[in-house]
Amino acid sequence: MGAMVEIDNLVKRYKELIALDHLKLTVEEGEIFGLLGPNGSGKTTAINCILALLYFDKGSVKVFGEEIQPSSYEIKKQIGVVLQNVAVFEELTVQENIDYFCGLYIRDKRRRKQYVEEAVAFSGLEDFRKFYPKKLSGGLLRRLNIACGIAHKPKLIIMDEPTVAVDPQSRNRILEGIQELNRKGATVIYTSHYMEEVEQICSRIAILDKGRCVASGTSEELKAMIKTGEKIHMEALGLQPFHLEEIKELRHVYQVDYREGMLEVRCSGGKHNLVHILDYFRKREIGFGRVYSELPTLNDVFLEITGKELRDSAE
Amino acid sequence: MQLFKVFFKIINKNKGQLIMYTVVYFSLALLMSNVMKEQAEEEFSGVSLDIALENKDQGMLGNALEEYLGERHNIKKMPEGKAALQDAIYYEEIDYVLAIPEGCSEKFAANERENLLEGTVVPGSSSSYLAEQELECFLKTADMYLCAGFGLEDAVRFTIEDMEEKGTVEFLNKGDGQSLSKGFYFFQFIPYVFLTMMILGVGVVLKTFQNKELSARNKCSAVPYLQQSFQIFLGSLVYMLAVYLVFMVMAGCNTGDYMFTPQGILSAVNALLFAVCALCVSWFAAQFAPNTAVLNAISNVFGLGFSFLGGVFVSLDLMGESAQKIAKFVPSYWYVIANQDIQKVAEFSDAGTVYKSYLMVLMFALAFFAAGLLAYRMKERSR
Repeated sequence: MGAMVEIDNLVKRYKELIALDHLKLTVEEGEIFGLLGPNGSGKTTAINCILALLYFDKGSVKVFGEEIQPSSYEIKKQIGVVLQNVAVFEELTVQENIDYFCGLYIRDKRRRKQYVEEAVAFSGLEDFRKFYPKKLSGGLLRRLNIACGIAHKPKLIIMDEPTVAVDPQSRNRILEGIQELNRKGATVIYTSHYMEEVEQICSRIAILDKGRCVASGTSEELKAMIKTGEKIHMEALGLQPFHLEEIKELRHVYQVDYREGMLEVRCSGGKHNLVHILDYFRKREIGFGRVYSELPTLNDVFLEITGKELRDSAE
Repeated sequence: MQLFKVFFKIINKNKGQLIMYTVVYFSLALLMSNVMKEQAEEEFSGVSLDIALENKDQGMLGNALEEYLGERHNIKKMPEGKAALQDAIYYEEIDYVLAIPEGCSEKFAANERENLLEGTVVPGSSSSYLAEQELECFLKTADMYLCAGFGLEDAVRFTIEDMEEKGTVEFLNKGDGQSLSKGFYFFQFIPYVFLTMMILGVGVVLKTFQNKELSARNKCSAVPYLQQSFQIFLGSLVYMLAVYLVFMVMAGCNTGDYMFTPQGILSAVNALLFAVCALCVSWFAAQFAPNTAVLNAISNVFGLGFSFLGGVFVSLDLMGESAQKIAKFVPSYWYVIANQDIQKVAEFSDAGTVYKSYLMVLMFALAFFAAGLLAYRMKERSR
């Protein structure tokens, strides 16, 4: 498998603002590559550079091994695009819209007709063929946007936040659809600031912050990069500062927070951290309520690397 | 040719509005070219006034005046009482009030002219003054006969005979001194409808294609950018020619043989050049409208603004000197000038001034296109 997209030392400036700061990325064939980062981190700018919609100041972008230019129409033939904002004609019906965008790549009428039918079926828009975009719900509109982008069966599909403002049901359908496209052989670049989505579907993830790639790898690899291995939460009343000090002395525990009766213990690796903490509570005869343990999320990865919450900065 | 096809699908979606403009224009043009031509040919007619008259004299002069006025105007019974009279004047039921006092004939024969008749004019009414003028004319003529030695009976009889003589009114100079054809009136209003049709047609399509998301999406596609621009340009051209042809067929139906005369052909070329100019104006307007709803408003601004300023609706002769100077900066002015000049032309070789106006319209087309292109480039760069 070769590299589908290679971004090397990409710099893009908007006057004083550095949108991309020596960005380096490689997307391999057959993967769903997630670009994760808060709003303004440079995801869309990176996508626009890959699509040759933006001129950049420095670096190079190679798609299918060739430098992409605005006039690289042979390369563009193999790329499917789903932009962040819905790009469809209000004056055309669902079917006409898909046919139009498919027609920008496929000239053969018979083949195009077949592809349009497949895209309509793929996106579950069979009952809405004659509908105008204004009559569609937000979720259906997003599905139409995706159908327009993938109808010509591209090798590389670039999706820029395709699930923004979509209800959970439509979101799941979209995510399943992306996985299906990938199973059929398409390489997907998927940007989002929803870490759960990225974690769910992406085989490899790059975390962007202030135009730089701060970390990349599989979800597991990213989580392994950080200190936090497990987070334990316990409802416990009346804990004293010395209790917190003693808990912190337990094996693998490196951070303890206690706020409004809720104890949060962060452990770096180890297998039986919860058992050790419960033992401590029993020995000290401290009562406790709900107890739960969670593995680190991409938000924890982002938090540790950048010092801020992905969720907070995304809003 | 995906963009070309979509161009007409968008036009098709807006066809209701475009057809409405076409039908309204055709009806109005038909009406105007017929009515205004008739008015231009028979522009003078006498005016009949409503006159309240009370003849207390019943003598020769009083009866003659009653007869004279009765032939020309509508004589109404004098309202009873001062209040009723004032009401009739207020509500404009009567234009003039004339009371002929008792003994008026005797006083006139005795050469007494003081308080001979009691006339009441309606304030601010020109009709009242017309009635007074006619009465004065009658009395002066009768007076002339009396002075010449005729008796009152003869003087009154001769005066009535003289007053029956009717003058014919002939226009020595009517505007530019030309008799204006039906074709002139049909083509006169073309700038308004072409500007509106182009902005609502081509302008709306351009605006749609220039939508930020759609524009980016099209640029990502495998269709070369130049080819995309060419398809949109071709769509605009075909639309412009279609609109032009529809109106030329209408012109043919309305004006008949006019279209096959040198004047008709020059008018058709004039309209074609203005259609090109209107197309460029629509391209220009599309660069500044934030959305298609605003474009609708802009179509009215350009359509009505250029038409009023350029002398489409109001004759240039009636516009002030400074207004005419400003009008030179809109293309419709040169179209109207050409349309007027065409009426004086018998042969193509006489049409030098018309060709000059053609050139001016083309210059405006070029200017609007260049300005639109500049705005487009700036907008693209800012994206």
